[in-house]
Amino acid sequence: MRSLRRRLLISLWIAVLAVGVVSAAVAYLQVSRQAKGLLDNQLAQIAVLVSGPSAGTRPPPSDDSDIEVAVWDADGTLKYSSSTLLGQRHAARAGFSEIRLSRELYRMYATEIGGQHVEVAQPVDVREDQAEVAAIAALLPVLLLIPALAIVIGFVIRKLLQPVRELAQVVARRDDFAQETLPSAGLPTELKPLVEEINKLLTRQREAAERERAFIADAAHALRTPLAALQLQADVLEGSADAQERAARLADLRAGIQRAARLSTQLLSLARAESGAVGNPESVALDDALLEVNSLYGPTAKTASVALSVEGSSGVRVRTDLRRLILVFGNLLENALRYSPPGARIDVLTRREGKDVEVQVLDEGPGIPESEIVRVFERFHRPVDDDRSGSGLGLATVQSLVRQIGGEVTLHNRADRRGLCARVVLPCTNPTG
Amino acid sequence: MRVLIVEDDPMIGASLVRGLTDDGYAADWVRDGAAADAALRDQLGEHQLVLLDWGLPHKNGLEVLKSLRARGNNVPVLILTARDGLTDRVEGLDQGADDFLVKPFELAELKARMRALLRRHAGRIEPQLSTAELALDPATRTVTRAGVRIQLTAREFSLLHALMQRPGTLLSRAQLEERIYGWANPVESNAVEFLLHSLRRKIGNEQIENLRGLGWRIAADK
Repeated sequence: MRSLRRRLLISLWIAVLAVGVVSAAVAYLQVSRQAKGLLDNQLAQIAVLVSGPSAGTRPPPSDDSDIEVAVWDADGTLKYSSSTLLGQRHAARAGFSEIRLSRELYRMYATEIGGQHVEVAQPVDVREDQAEVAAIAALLPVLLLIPALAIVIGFVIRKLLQPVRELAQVVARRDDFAQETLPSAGLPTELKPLVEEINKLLTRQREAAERERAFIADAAHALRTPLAALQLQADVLEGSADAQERAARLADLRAGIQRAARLSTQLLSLARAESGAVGNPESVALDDALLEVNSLYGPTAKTASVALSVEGSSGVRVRTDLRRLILVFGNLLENALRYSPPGARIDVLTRREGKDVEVQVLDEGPGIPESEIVRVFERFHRPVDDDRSGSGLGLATVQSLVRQIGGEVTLHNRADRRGLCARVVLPCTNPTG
Repeated sequence: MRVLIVEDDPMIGASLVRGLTDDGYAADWVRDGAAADAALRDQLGEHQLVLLDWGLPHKNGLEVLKSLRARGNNVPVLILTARDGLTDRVEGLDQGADDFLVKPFELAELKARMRALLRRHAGRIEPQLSTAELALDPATRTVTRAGVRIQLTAREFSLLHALMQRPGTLLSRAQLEERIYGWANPVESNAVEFLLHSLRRKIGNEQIENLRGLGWRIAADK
């Protein structure tokens, strides 16, 4: 786990330390150089002082700076010397120099004032000590500020990341079924987009969960009716008076079982269609699906004396998987067959329309009332006064699948004759050639 | 005993008609709310009980029930529903339903509840219908005369059941036809007389009084 806080802390601390060390070093060097300049000035001032009228009458005030002074007349006689170390003239020329007097290194200033030759000397060690004291004094605040700054940085980062921690706690406290979105008020602008995106995701998931719940409720409700029918059919079978009655009631029970089985199959395929869990999309030849559907429903059509004619699409490809396409046209064909009287025809026609392909399933059944045309797509909707209607799931499944492919399905009553036309428009992957 | 079944599912409706007819009920079946409304309005008093599906096309069960009660009709209504939500049940009962049955249910339970409703509606507490000599048990569909069991056909039982609902009350031929035959079974002109004849032979001629031109009644002497 890469902690943002730790990384911020470490990088800022390293930066502070580097800046502190460099500025301390610079301060140390500068202050010690300045201190040495000041000491030089001091030597020069002492030289002026001792060469004055009262020179030689009294020695310069002795302190712990170990400064030694010597004054010579113009004729070269030693007028005054604070120490035997300066018993003879050392510097030939005026100015600062470093000189070794009795093994110790001295800083010396020599000058000519009013015909007198003045020499002032101070041990280098003493000077270094004094310069160091000054430099360290200058260093101290920097050295003290570094840890103080480090602490402040730590505190500020902790404070800034507080909303992140609080957010984490809010999320951690939520249970699996929590529905409400995360609070985004008062969040820093950097966090807000993240929380808002998470909230959008939560909303989408909640909607999906609601759809699922509604589906389960609908499904449970829809399953009750065929189950109730089965229960009653079994009950009346038990009460049959004779073999003939018994046979008729058994046939009813079988029909009821078939209906329940068909409903569960359709529920499953609708659930699969709505969750999108059908298969991975690839470029599928529409003709493959139409051929498959033709061979699936051909026998049924024959038994029902319905002429089924399926027209190929001459090579149109659609980006989806084959099972989706088969489900779409299979369901439409099943509906058409259910409403086709014996001797009727069902035509499946395909036509290119620019980037799309249009497939029409035309039957010669009764069509549907205009008021029902939109509602028949609702799941579990069954048209009024319609014994032939199925589970009310087929068209809902078709619509869900077609939308996933990026197409559209519509129903309309045929203009040329009695019958229904189911029109499916799908985007093609191969452009018109 | 004539029952109106209001049920849109063809399989459930057909099975209900069969199951109730087996027990001698006269069952009429309509498939949507509007038809139920019409049947209950036009054939006032014909049905002694209504089985009402909650989810109906055109006009749902609740609306049918509301308008039925608004017209002052107090026929017992048993709701059949695929929804088991509490609110539906509470609302149904508050709007004047007498009982509730959630699908799927067993025919035996439905019949028991129907009997209980009919009993309560007639103001009786004991499940049996009885006169001085005759006793009819709707649950076991048995008839005894002075403690001796009598075998009756389903139609004969229905006829006796109708007469014994209120001993002493006169029922016309049309009223008896109504209670014994549903719409689906066309009644031949002398069918009721024929049934009465065979019933009398089994339970004793004197048990059923005939007031010529008016109708028949069961002897109410107790």
